[in-house]
Amino acid sequence: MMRLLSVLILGACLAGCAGAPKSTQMTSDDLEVTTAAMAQQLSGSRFLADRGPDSERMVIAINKVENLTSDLMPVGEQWMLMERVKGSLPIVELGKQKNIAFVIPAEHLREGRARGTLPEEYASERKPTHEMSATFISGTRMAGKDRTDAYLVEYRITDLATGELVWNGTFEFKRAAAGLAYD
Amino acid sequence: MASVRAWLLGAAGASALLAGCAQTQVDPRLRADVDAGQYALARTSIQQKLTDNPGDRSYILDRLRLLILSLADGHPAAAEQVANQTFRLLRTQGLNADRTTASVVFNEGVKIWKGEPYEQAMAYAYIAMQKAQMGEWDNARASANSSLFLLKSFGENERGEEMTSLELARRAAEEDARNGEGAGDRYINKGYTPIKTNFALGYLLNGVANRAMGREDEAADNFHEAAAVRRVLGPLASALHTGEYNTVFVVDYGVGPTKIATGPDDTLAGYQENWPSDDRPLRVAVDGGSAPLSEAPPVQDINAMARSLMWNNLEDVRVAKSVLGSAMMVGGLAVAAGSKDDEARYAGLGVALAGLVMKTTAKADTRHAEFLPQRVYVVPVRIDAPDSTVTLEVDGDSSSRIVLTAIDPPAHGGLQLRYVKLPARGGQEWATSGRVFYGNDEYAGRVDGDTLPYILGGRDVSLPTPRALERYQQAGWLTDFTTVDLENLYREEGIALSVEDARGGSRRHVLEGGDSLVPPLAGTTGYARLFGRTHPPYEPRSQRLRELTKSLRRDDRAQGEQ
Repeated sequence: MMRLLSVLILGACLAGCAGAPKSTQMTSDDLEVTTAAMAQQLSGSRFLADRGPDSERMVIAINKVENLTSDLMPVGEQWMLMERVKGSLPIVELGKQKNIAFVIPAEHLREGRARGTLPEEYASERKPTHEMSATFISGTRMAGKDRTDAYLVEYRITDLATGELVWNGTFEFKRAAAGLAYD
Repeated sequence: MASVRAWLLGAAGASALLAGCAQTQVDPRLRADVDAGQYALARTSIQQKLTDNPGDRSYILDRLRLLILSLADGHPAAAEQVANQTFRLLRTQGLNADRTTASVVFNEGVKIWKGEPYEQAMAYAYIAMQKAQMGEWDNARASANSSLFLLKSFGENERGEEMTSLELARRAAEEDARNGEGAGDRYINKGYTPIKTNFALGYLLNGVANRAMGREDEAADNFHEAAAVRRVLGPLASALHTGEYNTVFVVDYGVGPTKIATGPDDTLAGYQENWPSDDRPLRVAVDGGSAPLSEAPPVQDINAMARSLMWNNLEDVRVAKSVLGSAMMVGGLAVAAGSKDDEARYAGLGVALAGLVMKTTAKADTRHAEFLPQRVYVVPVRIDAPDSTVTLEVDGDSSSRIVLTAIDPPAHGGLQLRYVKLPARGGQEWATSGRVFYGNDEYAGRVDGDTLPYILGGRDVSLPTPRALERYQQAGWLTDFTTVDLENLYREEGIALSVEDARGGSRRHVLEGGDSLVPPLAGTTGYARLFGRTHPPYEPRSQRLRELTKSLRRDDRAQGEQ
């Protein structure tokens, strides 16, 4: 009898320690796959293919990701997701062969000047012609204990003078989880 | 028989121990500090004991406590890590699902505290406020949106009121009696209607976040929902939707309810009010701007949320435990007492022991978020001039008055949000001084004594920037110093100059005997407390500072004699 009780108690303790919780939040793997797909779409795009050394100079300022999901995305991560796509491009080569340059984001410039780490005249010749931005959107479906979040990611390069979208790439993924939301 | 007695003693001891484990209430001294608005003392104390183990049963509760107090003290950046960690676990489903067996046999306390649904909604709201104060409106939107989860409605009782947890338990027991074991559980698990939340604060925060992002349609939808939940919020929702404002104050007032064990065998969670609910508005006056509404009604009543069945959960487990525990105990003792057979006696006593453990430990888990307020206000204002002053006061409670100084318009246009936790023990002198006694990075105006750092005997606690040094040097002090020298002086004293220096955590300001120079946000209770009164002189820690202070005094005396 005592053995039985011990087994019951041990079983209960083990049950208390076991089991992996679940979540529909984006994982680092999701973000890695997303940025890889975006980089691939951008490097293989008509937008880049059609440009040459004599094309009109394009100066691209990067903006951080706009988060329209139900997940938190730390600001550092929002910048990193842009930098990863930009970083996948052969920047020096782009400058020579496609006449494209990337410049410091306006937000970083503003913060640097406010903190006094960047002089007022720094990057005064920046003058971006285009903006690269991205939006992460999610939609949620819940039924009983199940929850599914569908994520849609869009990266864009927009002409600042005309507002014309010169390139965009999209990527979708889903995450599902089971378990009581409040438990 | 001796071994049986030993078992009994052991089990009784274990059950007592387990029952004791469940109650991890906050230290009463810490509570007193919070009531007096001394949030720095309380938050640093919690920070020191913060566990890094997500499997710890108080992981989220401690983080929520720290989050609320850090925001109250005006340090949203220091709260970033705990806010993100809290969010991650709140968004994890079935966190306690695999602990059910253990909790049923032993105690609710083995579960990771995730809070009742009303506490979870409030936690999401505080995370949204943390993000909004950092200017991360998209993340604020994400968290505010997460607070708007569906609720469960079990309908009304015979009196036409929302059913209570005890009534639900009785109905479930009747189902069991009528339709066999399991029918009660089925009723509790499936006998409800999922309904849209009535969390007005979540709708308003979501609306404000969307407005800040320029998403006017989604903002309008959320403001409309808030007004639909409570008609009295109509003018406020309308002011937030179309009004001229650039700053939103979210104001906590009063003390939230205490969770207690009640009902049969103390298995049900009940709430004891600490602060009465009423509809008194918050009055607002702005010097240096204007307010679309001169008074705002309470948006959220935490007493009412805690009382409402739809904002609570787990009653089923508690009631089941109680019923099962009582039945097992009675049955077990009867078998043990009546048997002449040793094996049967052991078996009966074993079952009785299990029943005893269960009955002792079936008591409801009374861990709760103690720093929630009784009510929350949301107030939009327009700040036109730098160093504006906003005065807030709950109608009919002059001790609640707080004068918030040094508030600037948002740096790059748009919107800004400030969270204010009114001290429960009102009437603090600093709350109404309306003055800034120390030069600091949140205040562009001048202060007597701001020509010398506080650590050197002056009244300036600005970060060591070129601008601050220039001010000191123009007054004839530290003329041979560079900004780096000044930085090094602070570092030698072990003083953190940024949240990163403080390793992202909570540290007290040097003015209050701590080792951080990071200022709280202007427009918060923490700012009013820190800069709205004078503090004792700084006690140097390093030899270098002691010598420098002495030499500056000598210079000062010499100048005075000339």
